[in-house]
Amino acid sequence: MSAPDPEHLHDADLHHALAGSLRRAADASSSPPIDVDAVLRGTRLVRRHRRNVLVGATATVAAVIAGAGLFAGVATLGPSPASDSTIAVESAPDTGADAGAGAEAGEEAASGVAPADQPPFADDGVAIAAVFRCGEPIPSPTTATDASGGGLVATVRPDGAVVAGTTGRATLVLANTGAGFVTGRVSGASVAVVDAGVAVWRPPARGAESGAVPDEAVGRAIELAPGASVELPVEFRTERCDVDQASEGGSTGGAQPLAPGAYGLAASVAIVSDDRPGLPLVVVSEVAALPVH
Amino acid sequence: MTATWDAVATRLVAERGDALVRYAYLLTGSDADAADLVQDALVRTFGRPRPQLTPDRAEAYVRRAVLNAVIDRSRREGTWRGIRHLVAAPSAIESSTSATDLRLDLAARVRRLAPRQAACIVLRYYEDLTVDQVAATLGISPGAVKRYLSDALRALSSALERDGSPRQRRGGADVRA
Repeated sequence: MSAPDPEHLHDADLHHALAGSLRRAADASSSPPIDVDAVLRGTRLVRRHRRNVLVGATATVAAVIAGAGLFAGVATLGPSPASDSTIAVESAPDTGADAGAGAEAGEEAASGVAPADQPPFADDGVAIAAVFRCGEPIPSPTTATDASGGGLVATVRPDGAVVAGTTGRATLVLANTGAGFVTGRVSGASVAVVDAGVAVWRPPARGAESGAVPDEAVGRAIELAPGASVELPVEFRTERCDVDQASEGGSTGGAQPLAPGAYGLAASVAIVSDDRPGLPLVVVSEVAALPVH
Repeated sequence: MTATWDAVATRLVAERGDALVRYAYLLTGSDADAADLVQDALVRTFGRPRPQLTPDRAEAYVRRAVLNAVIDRSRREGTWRGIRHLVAAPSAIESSTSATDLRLDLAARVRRLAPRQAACIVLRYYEDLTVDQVAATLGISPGAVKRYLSDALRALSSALERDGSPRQRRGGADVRA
């Protein structure tokens, strides 16, 4: 039943020549040695990401179960909410932009078809802008909790020390440490200058005079094979954002320069995966050292 | 527990890193690609919790991951090869000299085989593993290994005969009854 042993079907000369040729070729190779530190670093990143995904998935399942329980409780106590919710979606467009978006989402859900080409990133921009809030602790480093973008890890690399009160530049690296391809678009990116875990500066709203994340980074298509990465340029200001005006967009023209010292820089990036066009994946980097002179 | 995979990974790289890179090199023919492939395969192997992972088992995982990466790459390149003739003509015709060189360079011919065939050949004739060991390493059945080896040897033999090697002049009786 088993296949014949190929050793008996071919010349011993060929086997011998093959072994010799392979040995010579292997001996002639001059591949660089494996960097064990890089392997360990990369592995830790992947493992941490896997843990984050697991925690996120568990939380999502718990929320769904809780929501279902709540819904079941309401259903047993009151009238059927199904017809009411339909009416709410249908009547929403009259009440402004947000409601309009809700109606749009409702239509998409009803049709079950993803929008062909979503041009606006306004909602995603709001989402990414909310990651870092002036005067508030920055969120923990995280990778995308969505399964389709599960391998995305962000790191930020300042170009060097920055003078207080000026614009600094950094590179945001988005790497796919997962096993599958990730394709989609960058829907937003943000950075924060961090002091003792608190955001002391974050970009103003898009369109403001200074410190905006370069527009060319937004909307950029990405196609990341496993192990591949993409770099996005980001800019930041070494000045203190005004907590009172944070909701309006952060710093203003008269912002106070940061006192020289050791700060940190964190970045976040939102990706709209082709698999889940309606749900941006937000990835937050670890804090990188940022000396300010 | 965390130190366990660290220790296994470190030991594997220290003891078998070169062998793994050579294996990848024989499949790809590129020094840089070989190191990258092995590094990625190591991360992929140790990035997933695997209970009771020993260096031997880890090495098998890494070899499989390298092979899978080569197969993926081969598929991508195959797509291009399939349409290349539509957009470009070959820039040069291989000279008889290069054919002679290729005839001598069996390793290059091995790289032209299908990735699984090439992996079986490398593990069998370079690493000197038995058919059963090759099967265990690649996670396939011994019968499949024999089939890959047989097909690969036949392809290599045919290629040599096409090039007019001494085997052909001798009559090409390389298959025993």
